[in-house]
Parts: sequence; structure tokens; C-alpha cells
Amino acid sequence: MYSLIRNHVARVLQQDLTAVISPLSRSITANIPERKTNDDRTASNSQQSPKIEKTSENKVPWKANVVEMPVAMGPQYIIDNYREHREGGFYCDHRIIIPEMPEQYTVKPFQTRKSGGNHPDTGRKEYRRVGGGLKKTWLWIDWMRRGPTEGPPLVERVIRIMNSDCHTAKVALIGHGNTLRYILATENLKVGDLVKTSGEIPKNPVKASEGDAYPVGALPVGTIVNCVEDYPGQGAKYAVNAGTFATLMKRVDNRCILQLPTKHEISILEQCMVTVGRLSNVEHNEFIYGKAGATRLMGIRPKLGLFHPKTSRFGRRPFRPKPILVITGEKPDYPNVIKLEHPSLDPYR
Amino acid sequence: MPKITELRGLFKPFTKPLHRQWKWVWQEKGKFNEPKLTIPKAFEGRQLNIIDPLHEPDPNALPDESTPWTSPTRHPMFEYLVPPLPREQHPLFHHDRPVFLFDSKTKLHAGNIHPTKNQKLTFIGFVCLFKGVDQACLLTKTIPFYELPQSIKQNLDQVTIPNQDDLIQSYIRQSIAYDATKEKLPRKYTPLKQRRSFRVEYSIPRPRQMSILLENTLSLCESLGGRYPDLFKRNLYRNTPFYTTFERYGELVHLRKKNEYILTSPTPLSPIVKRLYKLEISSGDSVNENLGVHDPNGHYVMQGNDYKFLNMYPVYPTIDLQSEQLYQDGDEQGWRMKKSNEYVHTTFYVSNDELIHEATTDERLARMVMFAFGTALVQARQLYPNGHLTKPVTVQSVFLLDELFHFVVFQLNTLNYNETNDQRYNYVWIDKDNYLYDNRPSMVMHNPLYGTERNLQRYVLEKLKYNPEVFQKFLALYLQGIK
Repeated sequence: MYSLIRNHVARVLQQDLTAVISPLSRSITANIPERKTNDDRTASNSQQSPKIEKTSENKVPWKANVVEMPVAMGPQYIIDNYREHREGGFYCDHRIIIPEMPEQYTVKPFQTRKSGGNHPDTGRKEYRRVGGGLKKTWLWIDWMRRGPTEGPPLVERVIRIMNSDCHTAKVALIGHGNTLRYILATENLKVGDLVKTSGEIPKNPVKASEGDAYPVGALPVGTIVNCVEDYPGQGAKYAVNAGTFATLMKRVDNRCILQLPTKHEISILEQCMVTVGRLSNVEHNEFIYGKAGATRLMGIRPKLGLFHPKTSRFGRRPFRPKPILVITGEKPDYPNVIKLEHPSLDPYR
Repeated sequence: MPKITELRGLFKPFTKPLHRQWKWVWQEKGKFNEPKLTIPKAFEGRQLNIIDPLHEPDPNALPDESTPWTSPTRHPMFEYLVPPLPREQHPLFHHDRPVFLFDSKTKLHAGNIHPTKNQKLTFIGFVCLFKGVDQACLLTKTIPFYELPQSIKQNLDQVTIPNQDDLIQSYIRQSIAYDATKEKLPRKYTPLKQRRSFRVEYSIPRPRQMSILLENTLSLCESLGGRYPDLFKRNLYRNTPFYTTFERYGELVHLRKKNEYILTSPTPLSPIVKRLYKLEISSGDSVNENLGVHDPNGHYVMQGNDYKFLNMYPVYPTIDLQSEQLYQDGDEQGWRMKKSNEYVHTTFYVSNDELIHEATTDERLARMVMFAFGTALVQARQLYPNGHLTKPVTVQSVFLLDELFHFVVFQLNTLNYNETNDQRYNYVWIDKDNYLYDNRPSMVMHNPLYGTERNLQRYVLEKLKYNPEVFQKFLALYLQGIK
């Protein structure tokens, strides 16, 4: 008993010490020149404007008026999420592991492996109700929609709309120039539509049409919006599932306040990219499986709890509205986390 | 001494089951925040090459002067230990200019737009008219006509072989059922239902079926050698390599294929449209031709002026072509043209592993158009190395899969693909969807009892609808170029 108390006290002291010392250490390291920009580890390359090639050759008729931009998704995405990228594969979801990730963005579908709810490092069960089901092919969706900050917007054409095994919303294949990429399709998107992206923030708000991507500062108050970024150039994070949308509530200085689908408000910078409209597959929550076998084919194992006692944890729980989540500054530069391997009992390793 | 109220809830990591305790411990202790590099104050202002052993070396740092040790000899016995050359060091790897590769497996996506069940085929301007053939025509500057040329249509029923229908039906039966080979066919699968499994089947493999049909029909056509002795000078080659590069508006396109069957003749084919727009092309045998002779194919020129090239606005037509840096320069057709007296007559596309539903007709026709263009281009470059065509070059090609036949006739009129003002276009005549026979007896859905490949011999004789027109077209194309 005393040892337990001593351990706890020691831990508390350690926490206090680190709370005191860490800001000091940070202030020391702040004087060092940013050598980390040279490495590919950090996500600081996003702030630079990408190279825009506007081909104005009169000779080539099919290149007239076409703005070319390379696909933003690349090895940076893997490196940003490199905690989940390990030798066994890319652990992108709690259900899916992708064995090989290429160096460049591809449109080819990937064959995946199921996790079964097990953590790839420890091998132990992390998530319940996960296991089995049909094979899923994973499509690499481009979460970043970057547009030119000056001049005409980037116009793309929708080539195909298809269902994805790993996403609830529908996926659209989009092409411009010689590049193809996937994005999440909005509600009224059809094959053959033209879709714009622009990074410009003009004085007057832009009249937005569905499927187009603009920075948040360019849109009028009250627009319905999806695939919201939290830091400019980091990729979509909020309102990414079927039938979801966020609404622009206010504009304050150079920040905008949106209401997310969970009725939680968020304040982000003006330059964050956002697509207009509501995401497709609106009837996703009304889908009735019909039988237990259908849920099993999706990879959902049965749920326990029919005869368990119900406490105050269950039932209607009205919460107070949360305060506005203000996302400030640059994305925090997380330190390089080195994950230690679980010692395996295999004597030959 | 802390009170019991302060301690409540803090003993969880000591009282819960062991594996859960370990999980929490690993979550906390299993992470190691790498400490940031601290440079001492004395080195602050200087510019130094910092070497961090935990990360990859800085590319701008001082060069590494230590050279790797290489073994003095390379015995063939230990070659397996030597890693193969990376792709970039291959001698055919071009570092300066990548090329758009058109292979026998590329599909021009314009024909891939399948409207889903919920989508109706609404015509939004010009969008739904995306066709793979149109995309290929943009790349090769051709104008397509969806019919056989008039001069061939007139010759359709003029030459007949006695008993040709019965012979070909016997060849069909031979290819489907009456052949002694029994090999394990590749496993069937449906993308509609993932867990549906088909039984393993043993019967005639598809490449053998196609080759039986094709070779027998060709030998039937060759039996007319008694009447036209020029047929004996023709040659049939199998599995010849083929590659070319051509420039289209400043972008190189590389075609590559292994021609399964290729028929050559000692004399080149005569052009179909002899008088092009405001230019009279002198054909070789101008003595016999009078200017007053009515050219049945003359109206194609006027028809071609109405054709508008595809406008796929933000998308380039080279979008489906993969950019490759590993390719071979020059042209190759499997034989040296200057020394031998062989000109390409027809190319036969026999698809071995494809099922009918794996690719649409548009994709196949686009492929045929591109490769016919390629063969014609190689021939023209050999005949006229200056780059100025005096006589247009024609090439034919035939596609064969089970019962499906496509006929394509290609006429090359220009070697100029970089200027926009040049008004001379190539012509293509396409005859698609010719079914040699119907009711092929191997569809599982139609015949659930005898749906497998095993019991074909029982009822391949019944209910086989034969179409005699297809062989007439085949013969007419075969006899082109003979007087």
C-alpha cells in the first residue's frame, strides 16, 4: 500500500517537473534555425504555393484554357501519418491495413487486409465488433483541393461516380490535363459535370455552385459546405461522411466560424479549403440491412448487452453546448515519436 | 497523507486485469518523444553541417567520400546474390523525355462511362458522346465512318467458295467442342457477387479455340489460289513485335504490341479514297485510270468535312496513356522492309484471355484504330523517308473473339501531326458487331442444367444460328489487292 502511494506521489512530482521544465526547454530550442524545413518529415511545405502551369500554346488545341496543377496528395500524406505507416502496412483505419503504399498518388484500387479489431503492433484486441466480411478495395482519395491563388480557377471534369467499400459517401473520379484523382462526390454531382477549385479570396463573396472548392473566406455566410480543413493545406477533416455538411455562421477578422454536423462550432482560418454542397448518399442512415447476415458481410460482429444491467450511463443524455473550438496558429509540430516494439516470444527473431 | 477522496480512481492501473494494465503501460511508455536537437551556445551563429544519426543524411551536406566495396570478379554462380539493376539504370531508360505509352492493354476511358442504374442518360451538351474511338481519332487525326467502304461492299458476294457455309460451321463446332485438348481453364468469377464460386472446368482453352477458327478460315480463303495465283506469295506471321513513336502536338506517343497474326502481301494495298480535297494523288498505275472514272468512294471526302473532333475540355486525350521512360527508339515491324518485298495487308487481333464483357466495343475499336495507324505509319516512313506522302497507305485489321468480328480499314494520308492548319486527315472505316453465330452454348444463366463447358458436344449442333454475311466480308477483305 505504501509503495502504491509512493509511486503515485512520484508520478505527480514528475508531472509537475515536466510541466515546469518543458517550456524552458522549448524556449531554448526556439533559437535554433529551422532545419526541419529541409526534411520531408514536417508539413511545412504546404504553405508554399504550388507551381501552376498555364499552357497558353496556340498550337495545341486541346490545351487551350486549361490550368494544370499536380495532385497535392503525395508521399507527404504518408509521412504525416507515419505513425500509422509501418513495415506491415499502412494502418489507415481501424478495420483496414494496406500492405504496400506507393511513392506517388495512384488511381488504381488497393487490395487490403483486415485487422479484425486487432492492433498491428501488439496483436491484441483493440476494437470490439470488428471482424470478417467481404473483401474491401481501398481507393486513395485526394483530401486536398488546392486551387490557383491568382488567375482563372482549375476546372475539372467528372468522369465516373462509384461506390466505395471504405467510405460511406460516393467517390467521383475527376480528371484534368493528364491527371486523374478521386474526390468525395456531393449530392447532385453527375457524370460530365465541370468542377472548379480556386484559392482566391476576393473582396465580394463568390456565388458558389455545388461541387466547387473555395477557401472559406470567399463564401457568403450561410452556405452549406463539406470536407472542411482545420489547417490550410492539411487535408479535409470535418464533414466527410455521407450526407453531412457544415454551415458558415460568422466571419470574424480573418477567421470563419462553422457549425459542424455535431452542432459544435469551430473557428478556422480564412484560407482553409472547403467544398460547397452536401455530400452524396444522403439515405445512408435510412438503410435497413434486412438481416443479420448483411451486417456480418460488412464486417460488423455481433453486439453483446441484451441482458446487461442498465445504469445511468445509458439513455438520453443532454449535454450543454460546447464552446467554440478555436484552431490557432500553425499545425502543432508533433515531436518524432519512436514506437517501441512489443517483445515477441519468438526465439528466432 | 492524502485522503481517501483524493485517491479514489487513481488505483485503476493497478487493479484492472493484467493485460489491460499492460496495454496502458505500453501506451504511455511505449512512446518515446525524440528529443529535439540542442546545439550548444558556442555553435549558435555558425553554419554547420549537422549530422543527426537518427535521420537520413542531409542532401546538401558534404559528399560522402567513402566508396562501397565491390567484388573484383562476378562469377555467374553468384549472380543471384547481385541485385538486379534498378529501373533508372536500364540502357533504354530515357531521362530526358517521357513518352505516352499505348499498349495492347490500355483502355481509352472515354468509353468507360457506364451510367449507373440511378443515372439516366441525359444529354448534357456534348458530354455523353464521349467515345473511345473519337479519342483515338483525336490522337491520330482521323475521321471515322461506321460502315465498310463502297468499293468493298460492291465486291461482297462476287467470289464464293463451294460449301463455304457448311465448312465454316464445321470449323466452329471443331473450335468449341470437337477438339481433343482438355486443359484446366482459368477460374470464372463474377464481380457482381464476391463470394460466388464456379466449378473448375476442363476443356479447350480460348487461345486454341480462336486459332483453330482463324487458321481454318484463312486456309479456306487461301484455297482460291487456283484462281488467283498471287495469293501464294502472301505470308502469315505469328507473334511479331511492333513498336513506333509518333509526335502529336509536341507529345510523343509510343505504340507497342505483339501482333498475334499478321498477313503480308508482295504489293501494297491501293488507296480507297483516291482523290482527296483539291489534290489529285497519282496512284502508281495511272495508265489504266481515267479521270472520268466514277470513284465510288469519292463522297467520303464531303462526308468527312462534317465530322467534328471531340472536345474533352479540361482533359487531354493522352490522359489514359501512361507516361513511360523505358522505351526503344525507332520503328520495328518484325522484318526489314527495305530488303524484303513485304507489305502489311491485314492484322488479326485474337484476344486470348478476354471475355466478351471485359471490354466494350469502343475500347477495342479504339485499340484497333491506333494500331492500324501505327502499322500504316511504319510502312509510310519506310516507303517515303522524306516525310511527304505521294500515295496514301492502307491497312486492314480484323478483330476476333468467340463469335464477334470487327472489321477496320485504315487509310493514311498525312505524316504531319504537329500543325493545326493542316486539313488533310486520315480515314477509317469501321464495321463493328458482326456476330458469326448466335446462341453459343456456354452461358450458365441460360442453361443451368448443361451450363458448363463439359457438355458442349451434346448440343452444340442444335440452335446454332449461323450468319453467312460475316464470311463474305472476311473474304472480300482478304481478296483486296488482287486483280
